[in-house]
Amino acid sequence: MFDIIVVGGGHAGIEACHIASKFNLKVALITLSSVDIGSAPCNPSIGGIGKGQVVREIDCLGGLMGKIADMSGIQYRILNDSKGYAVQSTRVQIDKELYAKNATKLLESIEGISIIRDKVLSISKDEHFCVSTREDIYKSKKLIITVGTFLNGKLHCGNESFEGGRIDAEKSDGLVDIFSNIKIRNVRFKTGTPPRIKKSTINFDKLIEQKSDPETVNFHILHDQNRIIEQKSCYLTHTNENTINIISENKEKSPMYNGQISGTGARYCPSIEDKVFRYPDKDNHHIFVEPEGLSTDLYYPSGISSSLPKDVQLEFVNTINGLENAEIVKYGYAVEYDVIDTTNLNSGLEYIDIPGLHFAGQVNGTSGYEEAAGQGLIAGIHASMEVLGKVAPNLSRNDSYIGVMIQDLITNRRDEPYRLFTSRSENRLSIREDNTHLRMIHYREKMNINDSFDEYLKKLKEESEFLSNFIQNTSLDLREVLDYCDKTHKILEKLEKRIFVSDILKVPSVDPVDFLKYILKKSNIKCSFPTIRTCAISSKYLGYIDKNSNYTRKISRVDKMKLDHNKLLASNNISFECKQRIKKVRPETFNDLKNINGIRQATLAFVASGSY
Amino acid sequence: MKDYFDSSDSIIALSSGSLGKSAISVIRISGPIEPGILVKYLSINGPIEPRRAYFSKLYDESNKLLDEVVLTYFAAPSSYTGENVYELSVHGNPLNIKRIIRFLIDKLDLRDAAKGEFSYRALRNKKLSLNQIEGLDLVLNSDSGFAIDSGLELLSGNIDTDYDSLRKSYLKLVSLLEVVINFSDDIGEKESLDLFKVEFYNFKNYAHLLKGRSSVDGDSLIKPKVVLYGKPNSGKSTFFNRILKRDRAIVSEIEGTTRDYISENLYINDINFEIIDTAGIRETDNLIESKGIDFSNNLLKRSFYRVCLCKEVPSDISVFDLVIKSHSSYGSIEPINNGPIGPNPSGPIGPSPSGPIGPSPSGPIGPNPSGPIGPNPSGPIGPNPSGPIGPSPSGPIGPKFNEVIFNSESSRFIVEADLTDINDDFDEFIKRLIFFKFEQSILNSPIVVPRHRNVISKLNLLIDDFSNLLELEKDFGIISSEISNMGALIEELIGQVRVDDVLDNIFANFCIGK
Ligand SMILES: Nc1nc2c(ncn2[C@@H]2O[C@H](COP(=O)(O)OP(=O)(O)OP(=O)(O)O)[C@@H](O)[C@H]2O)c(=O)[nH]1
Ligand SMILES: [Mg+2]
Repeated sequence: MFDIIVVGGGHAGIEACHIASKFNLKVALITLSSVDIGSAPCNPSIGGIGKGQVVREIDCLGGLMGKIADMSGIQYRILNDSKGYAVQSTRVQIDKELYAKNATKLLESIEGISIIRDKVLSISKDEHFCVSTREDIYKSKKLIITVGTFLNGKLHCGNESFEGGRIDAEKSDGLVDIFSNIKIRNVRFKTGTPPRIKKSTINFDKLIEQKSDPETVNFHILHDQNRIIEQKSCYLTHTNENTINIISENKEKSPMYNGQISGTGARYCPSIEDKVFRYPDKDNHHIFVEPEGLSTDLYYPSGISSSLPKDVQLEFVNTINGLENAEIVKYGYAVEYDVIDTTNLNSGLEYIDIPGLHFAGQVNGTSGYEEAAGQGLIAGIHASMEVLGKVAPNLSRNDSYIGVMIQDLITNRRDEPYRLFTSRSENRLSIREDNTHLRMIHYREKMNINDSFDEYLKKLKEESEFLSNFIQNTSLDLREVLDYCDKTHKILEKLEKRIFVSDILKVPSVDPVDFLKYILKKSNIKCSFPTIRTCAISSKYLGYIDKNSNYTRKISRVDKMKLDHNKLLASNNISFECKQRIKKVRPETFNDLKNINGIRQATLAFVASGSY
Repeated sequence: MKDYFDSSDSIIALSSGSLGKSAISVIRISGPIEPGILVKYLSINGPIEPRRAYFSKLYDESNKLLDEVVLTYFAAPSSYTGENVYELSVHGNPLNIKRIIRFLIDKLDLRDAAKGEFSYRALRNKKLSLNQIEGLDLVLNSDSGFAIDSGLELLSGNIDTDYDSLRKSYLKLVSLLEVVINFSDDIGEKESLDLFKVEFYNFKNYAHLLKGRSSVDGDSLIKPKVVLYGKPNSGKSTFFNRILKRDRAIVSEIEGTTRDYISENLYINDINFEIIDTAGIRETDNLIESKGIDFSNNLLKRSFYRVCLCKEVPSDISVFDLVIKSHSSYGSIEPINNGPIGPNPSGPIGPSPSGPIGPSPSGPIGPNPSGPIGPNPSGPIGPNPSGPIGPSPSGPIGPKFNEVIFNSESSRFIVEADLTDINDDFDEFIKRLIFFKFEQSILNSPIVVPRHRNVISKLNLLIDDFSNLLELEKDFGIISSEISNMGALIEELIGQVRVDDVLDNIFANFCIGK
């Protein structure tokens, strides 16, 4: 008898069973033997805009993703480097093989986790969950399903199609039969992946090199600035007219355009076919050529995911600058799969009608390893604390991207795979990568694990309080400031004789982190780097954050207004099209309604005034 | 909305005529209260039917007569508030009303309605939409056709197209911002930034357009004030009486005859103007007169149309819309120097000197036999060319105004006339000038709802600040935060958010109920 069984060893499954073990529970991870634990079937990178924030949130809540990414990271980059701290995100290229190895090793080393390599055949529930595999039967109090694209998965590559969650792996067909009561969305989702290219056949001289950035801060908060393994470069190249022509000529061979695939792909992650047919005027598309690992021979050409027949894939790849003689090792494919209707889940990602059953990851219609991991962690925390008879904290959308994601998922149905963007958050200035530990600490406290990690976070918090005080209350002699300006050739206007540290941190041309470091050194004050960085940046944004909350406070009050969608549907003042959408999404709050695509302004005004 | 607005109570308030002003007053009750409870204190036999008026005596608990009343009952949900509503017409003596309200509160377990609470209930019970209430406010609070039109437009739920353009442009702006932040790798760093900046200037233009439309004070258009201003004995009261066609103000050759201002309704083409005769401006030791002069100066500031009467044209006439030089032979002749006000802020509205509209500035109008007659014949707006304005050469000879000059420097008209000896055409001409400015002012649909004007002005301030910031700040966190502030204002403008504020404001200023 297990406390928790997790089905599926992807990024969601890893976090779910790992965090459960932190609560000292007995956990089983049942996963197909044909698939690696923590495998990265698509792009070989972790992080990205919005996603980097999630990785750090997972990390500060005690998850594994950041740690494993660092242990396997071969190229670091800060995205939006020049656009200000609030919109910056970290992305790390990973060695895929190493990532899976590290993930497996870490889980295997944990006593409370039993890894079971088997295929689930059926699941039933009486008092407990009863999971039958080919080999055995397992029982548990809670069950977390993280089967990714394996729910009724179907692969497409040209006119060939197979049943399966991805290439080389079986699909989890059993699950669909078992959960005949589970509401599946009546649209199937689709995702794709590009062909993989053999390193020795790439002409790197023709590509633009992007080296790993040594300044980027590692994901795991306990790791220092040093990289753990050797670093590699990524490369940039472009498509051209010839590439486009070949794809255009083969339109009828594309499963997505000839009707073979009915699933909906994400508009933000188009296949090369999508790009060509939707934006016919553009022939110059970026392609990042990324190494899949240190020792592997595979390169991942990001930006040309495709499900065209194999010969066409090779033909268009060879038109690309630097890839003229490239050989394809694995062909691109698209996969179609079923997703859960997440509006039937609660904030612990628990299926409301079947208590104790949680869903996390791509099966919930999200895309991306990071989104999956974030959900796995939340499902794991909730299931665990439930076993222990405690109430798990709900992450708020006001201080976390995970909170934004969970709320979006459970309140809204979408027509395409869900991906986090920083714009989904209303508080971009205060939900940043650099202050993640301060945002997560109160959730960590409520999880009540109380290990050395919590002590470390507490220390950082105290340090930040001290440093914020210092910033607000310390004034400097003009001379000190001018010294700094001389050193960095910055010109400050309108200097008073004495000036507060906080005022200088707000000056647009001053880098707040650099300046605060300088002043602390002069004042002989020692602080850890995460604290200096966070305090400097927070201080820079403080005034703007206050201003914004003044403007948006009342709006957020209206956003919370509860709606009765049946009444909306009965109203004479709402147009037919709007009603169609309302029927589909069933908004519960005004904010849900606002977020539905294509809802008319008049409808919103009408509903907001409470007149429906 | 205030939390103390609790719908489970029944509420009461005087709903017509403020205390002590009218012979009959209407007391209104709204809430769950059943008719049977009220009937106990009335001389009505049997149940009360909805929508019928009952004449009845109202007794207190000891059967003492309180008043004779007319009761009308509107059953929920077919009433103004959607609840049971009772209207009691009672005798309008303030003491009587107070006594009855106190009695009813006591016996029927009612409570005093908060300001605007009746309308709030109407809104909450889906009887009115937010915009409709704003529209209703305009309709009920005004007796001018213009305000009623604007109010009706809101009532019918039309969303202004300029608002829509602004919102669309904002959406575009935000999308481009997101492109810069999330997808500049795909679109290109510089390209996405350029697109964003271009759209910002578009957006700014839309906001400025709305600012232009709200620059004319809405109140001044709802019942536009026409002020007569000038030195004593310049003929203000004379002109006032002329245009009203009756002897309303005292006219005399004594300086300082008019001490308190007098205002009257003046209808021009069904638009209700308020014409105001004021105390003449001069140095005085008399306390009352000097108070009157203060009024004159204040009214000048607040008026829609400003007429200066004088014997000698002042050097700076930019503050006035029209200068009338009279032939009064009384009093001193040096021109007034204008009070503490700057030039007319609404600018040179009125016949454009260069445009094809209105009287031609170059042609002398009046008894010039060779010049163009009256206003420019080609102009479609402005004083009607075919109308009987000004003594045309072929027209009746006799009393005349001697000269109409268009002062091109200030783009103002200066009219010279003997106010005691001129025919009605003169008055018509002046009325046309006044109406012309009014027409011009409403031509670009001024925004009159105070809440909208307020938000538009805030939005423009924010945008102008941001334009400066955009030069300096490369931090897109800050940029997006500022843009989101603008979004908050736009949502507020279009009425889908900040319902609370709006309701507070409207109900506090709302005339029905309380
Ligand atoms: N002949 C002639 N007399 C005028 C004219 N305008 C005004 N008067 C006379 O001038 C005197 C003053 O006129 P009012 O209209 O009382 O002047 P007012 O500007 O109202 O003066 P105050 O009320 O004292 O500020 C009266 O006797 C008028 O009859 C005019 O155009 N021609
Ligand atoms: Mg007078």
